[in-house]
Amino acid sequence: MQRIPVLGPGGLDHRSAARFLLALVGKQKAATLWGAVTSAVWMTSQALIPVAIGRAIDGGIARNDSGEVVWWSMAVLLLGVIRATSGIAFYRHSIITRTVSASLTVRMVTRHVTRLGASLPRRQDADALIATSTSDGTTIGVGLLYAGRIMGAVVAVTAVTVAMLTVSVPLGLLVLVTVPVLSGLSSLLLRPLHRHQDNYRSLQGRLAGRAIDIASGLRVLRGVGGERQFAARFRSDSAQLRSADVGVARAEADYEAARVLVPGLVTVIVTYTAALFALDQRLTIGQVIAFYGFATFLAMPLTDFMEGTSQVTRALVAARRVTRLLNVEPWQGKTPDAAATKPRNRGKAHLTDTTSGLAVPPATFMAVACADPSDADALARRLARFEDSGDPALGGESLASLPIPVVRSRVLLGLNSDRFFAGTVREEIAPAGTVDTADITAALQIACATDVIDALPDGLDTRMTGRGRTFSGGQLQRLRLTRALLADAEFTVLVEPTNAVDAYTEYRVAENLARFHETHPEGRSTVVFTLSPLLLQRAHRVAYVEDGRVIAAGTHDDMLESHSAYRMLVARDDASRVGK
Amino acid sequence: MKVRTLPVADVKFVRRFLRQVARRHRKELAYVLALYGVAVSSGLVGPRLLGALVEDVRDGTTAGHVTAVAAALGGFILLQAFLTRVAFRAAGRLAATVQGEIREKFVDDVLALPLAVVERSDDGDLVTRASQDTDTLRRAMQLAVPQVTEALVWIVLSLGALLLVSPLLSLALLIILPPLVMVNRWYLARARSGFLREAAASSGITEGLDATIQGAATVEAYGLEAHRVRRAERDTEAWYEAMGYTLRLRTVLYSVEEFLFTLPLAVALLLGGYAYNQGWADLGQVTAATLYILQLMFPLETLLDWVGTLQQGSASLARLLGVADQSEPEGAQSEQKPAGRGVIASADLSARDVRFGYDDGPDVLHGIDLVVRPGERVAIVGPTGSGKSTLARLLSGTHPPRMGDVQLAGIPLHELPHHDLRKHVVLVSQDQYVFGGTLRQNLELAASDVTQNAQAEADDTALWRALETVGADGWVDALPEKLDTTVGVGGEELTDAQSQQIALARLLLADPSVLILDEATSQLDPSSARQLERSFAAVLEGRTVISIAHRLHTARDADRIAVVEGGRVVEVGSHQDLIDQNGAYARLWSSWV
Repeated sequence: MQRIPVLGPGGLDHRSAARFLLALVGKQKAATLWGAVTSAVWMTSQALIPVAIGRAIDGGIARNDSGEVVWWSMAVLLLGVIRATSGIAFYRHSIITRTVSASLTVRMVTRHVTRLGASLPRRQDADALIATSTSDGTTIGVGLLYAGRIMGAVVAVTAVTVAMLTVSVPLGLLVLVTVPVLSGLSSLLLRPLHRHQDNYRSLQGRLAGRAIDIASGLRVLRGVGGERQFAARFRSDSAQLRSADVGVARAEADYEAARVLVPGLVTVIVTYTAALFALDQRLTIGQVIAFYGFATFLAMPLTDFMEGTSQVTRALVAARRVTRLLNVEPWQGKTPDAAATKPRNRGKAHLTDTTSGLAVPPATFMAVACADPSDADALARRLARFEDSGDPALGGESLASLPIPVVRSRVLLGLNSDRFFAGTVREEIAPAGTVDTADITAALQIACATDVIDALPDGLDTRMTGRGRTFSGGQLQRLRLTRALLADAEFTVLVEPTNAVDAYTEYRVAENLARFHETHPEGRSTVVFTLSPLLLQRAHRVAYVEDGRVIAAGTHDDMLESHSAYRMLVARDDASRVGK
Repeated sequence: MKVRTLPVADVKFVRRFLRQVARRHRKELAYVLALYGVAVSSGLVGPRLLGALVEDVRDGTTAGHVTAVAAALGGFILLQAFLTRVAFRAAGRLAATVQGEIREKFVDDVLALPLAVVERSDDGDLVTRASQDTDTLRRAMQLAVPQVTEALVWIVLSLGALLLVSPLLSLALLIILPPLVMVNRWYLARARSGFLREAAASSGITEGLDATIQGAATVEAYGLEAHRVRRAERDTEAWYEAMGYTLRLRTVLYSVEEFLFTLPLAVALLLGGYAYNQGWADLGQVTAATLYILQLMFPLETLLDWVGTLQQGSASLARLLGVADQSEPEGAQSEQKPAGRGVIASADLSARDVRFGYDDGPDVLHGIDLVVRPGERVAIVGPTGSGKSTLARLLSGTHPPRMGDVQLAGIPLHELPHHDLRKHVVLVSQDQYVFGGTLRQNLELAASDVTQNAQAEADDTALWRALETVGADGWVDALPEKLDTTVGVGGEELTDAQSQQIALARLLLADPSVLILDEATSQLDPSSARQLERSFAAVLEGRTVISIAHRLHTARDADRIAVVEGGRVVEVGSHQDLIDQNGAYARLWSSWV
């Protein structure tokens, strides 16, 4: 069995849907050729069986010639074996092609999504994206499967045509005209079928979305007792889907009826004509049977042809969706090829943004308090260059001029929306895999997360889910913090990294971070966007931001004294709020 | 606390379910089968007529007779096509109904799953079941079931017809029966696990992709690109391998079957030749018998084409049914719990020596005693990981305690039907989630009985009032379609703070007598949170409120504070009392300010 072909660095050509399909075929050249050959042999041998039967009846049984009977019976058997062998070979080929094509599509999409990273369209499109790569991948696979079948059908039809014409020219021509005409007519039914299918599919997607909601929303539903309401709504949507489903079934029924009718009518027309010819002694009985067989069997490659063209069309539509995604450009300036090398000036560079007036010196623990919480997010993203705004610079060099991978390797942005991926806790908090256990232990201690790991049955080697639902919000937050620390970036930018933990833990985390920076001054800075007085107090420097600009800087205590707006914002006891 | 996939139903359960479905829809099922029977029978007249025609032509006949036979042949084909259409439609209708039932059962079952089971499993598993497995099941039920049914009916009737035409020649088919049975048994013994593995592998792909897409920003921040690409490679490889196994099974089955079905054709010819020679059969019989056998190729081809799909469908069905509670027989839903109905007079909630641990893990709560009086506001504080959220879940009856009990007005929570319980006790957890649908639907999700549309219109003012209390009226009013704006999946995206406001508004509308708030304002910035808590408190005057918070303002405003540490309540008292005691709370407070 072939393997899934390896994708080169360039991946598959995806400039257009057709090119993408061709590239998929190109990845499986030998297999495609094999598919065409096997399906041709399969269909031809199938069509020739009636000829052999006709000969057996004609030349053998009718004439009482047992030698002929045995001879032709053996021919039938041989054809049967060839048919079976090639049929199975083709079947295997189709399933493999389908799987390989779908797999390659998934790989291409994954590769591109990781390339897009944060510039991926927002969450509401995520479900459509997942559908794109899974169901469209399968549709593409089915389309390619039929591509091989179409090639085989063409060969089989040609072979049978030649066979028919050698037996009887007028009858052969009759078959050649009626079969395509009738098949073509019934293919008209495919359009309504596909329309119904598309309608069904979009409803089904929505309903699946509802069911998926449960995974994330079950805690909420349980808490408020919303299960009945939810189920009731699902039921009404489900009823709607049912009627769409019935619509599809009706169109499918029409198509199935046509698939009975077309070969049936062809058979009647051909057999009738053949019988009339036989009456005029222009054909033998065996030839009548042979024509009956031709007519019946021709219908099969022709339905395949019909079905095949429609499946290829659908595959093209699916490929268009996939290529549209694959052609979404990573946000400007993102040059994936630029290698991220260790900078020579690590621990020397300042991270600055003159627009906001924010300046992060090397080797420091800094906190930023923003009067408007949305400023915190925006500024953090700006410093890590997750968006283009302001004029952030690193060591005097504009971030915009640096290749993105270089920025990513030097500035880490840690958000509360960051998630995990299914794996062991060790893999999740130290995804690079190069960190040793001592470092992990140290980072866990700073983040006050040691107890989280201790409570796990297999410690660091316990598996966790991507959403980490088995952990509480506070536990997850501490694990996220551990991961950010272990990334060991020159600048670690965090937004409200402790807003889900209790005051005592928050205090300890602040303490630990400060101590860490005092004992390990070399080479790294941590910037925390927060309103927590505990973090602010322990930070070496504090900047206070209003309307996107730093309007005061200094230590927490100084600023409490000198800046009433700052005091109002961060102080937690009403005494200081009112002002001493 | 292991990561596990959701359960899969065993063979017995699937069978029992299918039997129930068949019994429930026996009329429709009988109708469909009868239709296929008639449809296929009319298709079987063809070879018989053709056999007769061959005989007639050989013996010399008139063109008129040939025309008449051909017309009859055409008539039967028209009839067959028509009946096929009717049968397919009926089958499709039935399948759509049954699918709807399965779909709804699936959702009901998932809704009834123990929380822990859902939390342990990755989203991808549930996502695949809800999307891909329902798709596969549809393909199996709408296409494979009718095709296979038709094919089976065809085969059975062909055998019958063959027996009628020539019992002698049907011997040709009988010889293949024993090996056919054998190979099918071999196959069926292995197929189920193979197809289940295939479905699980395909689920793994969705799971990986889902995580990559949802976590794209994290992937970029931490440079996990290569990991995710490798994961996709591994997943597709695993799928390919699982598929390879079922493909090998199918290859063996099909090879044997295909060969076995060619054999009778040759045997029929040989036997036919001999029989004709001996005068036991005439040429028409031989022709008809051979054509019947030849025509058997069509249903067989259909069978081979669709058996795989059918098997994938049954694997999907097992996965969809797997979420059902298999220990309980159908129908005996624990909905009717006799005790406690209408007896809940007061809203006092008490926990007595409550112990609890997740799964088979160690206890995380070690004997909690807590009595909350009606109308009292109690704050629960303590270090993270001390068991506060777990306690909230127990107090709300989400989890039953291992030992001891939690009572509402003297009735143990686990004796109250879940739905009734939620009319009295509601928990808003720290998890925010916006459900796909309109904002209105999201708000009305809670247990109160506003379902009817007519009623909902009148309740608009109530909705707005609730939104106003939580400070969400401003941004909701700015939405394109206000309350009817679609939110969640495929709609307007809400921020975490907005989701939290919606959760709280939902709570106001549910109007329970006991509210448990687990970090319900943690996503709001401190000043908005305080503001919200104040307006909230005004509205909730007179209700029992238990709030878990690490923002100690909430605690200070409460009537009493319970400090939880290491799964025990270590201090209880008012803010001032506890400050005076200079214990755990005092330490916490001083580190807070």
